[in-house]
Amino acid sequence: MPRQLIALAAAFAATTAGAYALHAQPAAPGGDPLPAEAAAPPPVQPAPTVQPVEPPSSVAPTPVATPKPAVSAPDGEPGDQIVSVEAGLASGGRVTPGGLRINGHYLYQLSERDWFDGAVGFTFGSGQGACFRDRSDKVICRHGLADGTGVELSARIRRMLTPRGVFHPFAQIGIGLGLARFSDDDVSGVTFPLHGGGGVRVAVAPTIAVVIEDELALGIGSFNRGLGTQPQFSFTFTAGVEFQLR
Amino acid sequence: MRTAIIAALALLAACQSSDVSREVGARCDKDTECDERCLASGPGYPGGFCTIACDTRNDCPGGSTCADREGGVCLFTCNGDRDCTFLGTGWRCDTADLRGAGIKVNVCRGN
Repeated sequence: MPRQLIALAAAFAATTAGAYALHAQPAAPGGDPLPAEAAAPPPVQPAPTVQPVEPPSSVAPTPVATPKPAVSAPDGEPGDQIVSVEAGLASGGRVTPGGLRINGHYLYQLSERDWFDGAVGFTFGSGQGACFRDRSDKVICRHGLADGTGVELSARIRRMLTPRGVFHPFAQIGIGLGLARFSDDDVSGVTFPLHGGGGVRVAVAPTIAVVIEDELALGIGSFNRGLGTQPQFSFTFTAGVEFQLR
Repeated sequence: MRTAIIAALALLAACQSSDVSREVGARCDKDTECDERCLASGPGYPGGFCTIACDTRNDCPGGSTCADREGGVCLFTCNGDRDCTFLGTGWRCDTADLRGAGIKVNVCRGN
């Protein structure tokens, strides 16, 4: 990933993180909680007393290996990356496309709890016509929950919340830019949705996790055929698999 | 707060309310603009008229009946010309044969 893009993501995270009204406890990078020893401050040691200097020993001390969390970056530094693929359903209506949803995600760790999530999403619904001209020649569209097709690029910030057993919940918000198309009506438009939602991930292997998400999208779209600016509203439920890249 | 939400939802719903639909009543130039059939614009159907084929009045949605025209199509019922003004200029209330019943009904049609 180019450094410029990472810097941009970090700047986006900094401006967006303030919008969270969450009171989550810190979680470890990679989605696992930090061990209690790592989270607590080191105990205060009493001042050392002067001891007689012993002659150097000929036997060097044996180094002690420190166990490393399975899905944490080395030394707890941010920088982990995850890719995922998800499938599910998206509700549409009017001029919001709905139907089968396929998402691909790239996640990059920004801080202890926050991840940048860049995603591309495809929506596949029916192309059935549902627009008509009323008697004043105004175009009205009444598409159903699973009509239309769409593609969207989006950027989110995911905040990992306090784990509950094997379940690691998260919340996320973001923005998107998409294209919507209703083929039988020859209606197309550009959409600008805002995303908010959450989910839970469950690690099933050191670098693999199952994730379930639901999300609400609200926004506007600009459409042809005289429809102009129209509201966008969608609810999405997806499930998929995440793969840690290192 | 609840009243404001209900009002906002009602306003949103009203934004796209219409007396006509792709099934019956929408303007059209071709069949693909309708659920089934477009009666092309002309003196009989000014602006074009989406409709569906029918054999009896039960085949037609509420507010319309099966007129014995064009092989049987659903047209809006009326009691006077005022009832047809929502369809635009050139529409009036006139009699037509009710398909399959041998009686007359009042429907909106072109001049």
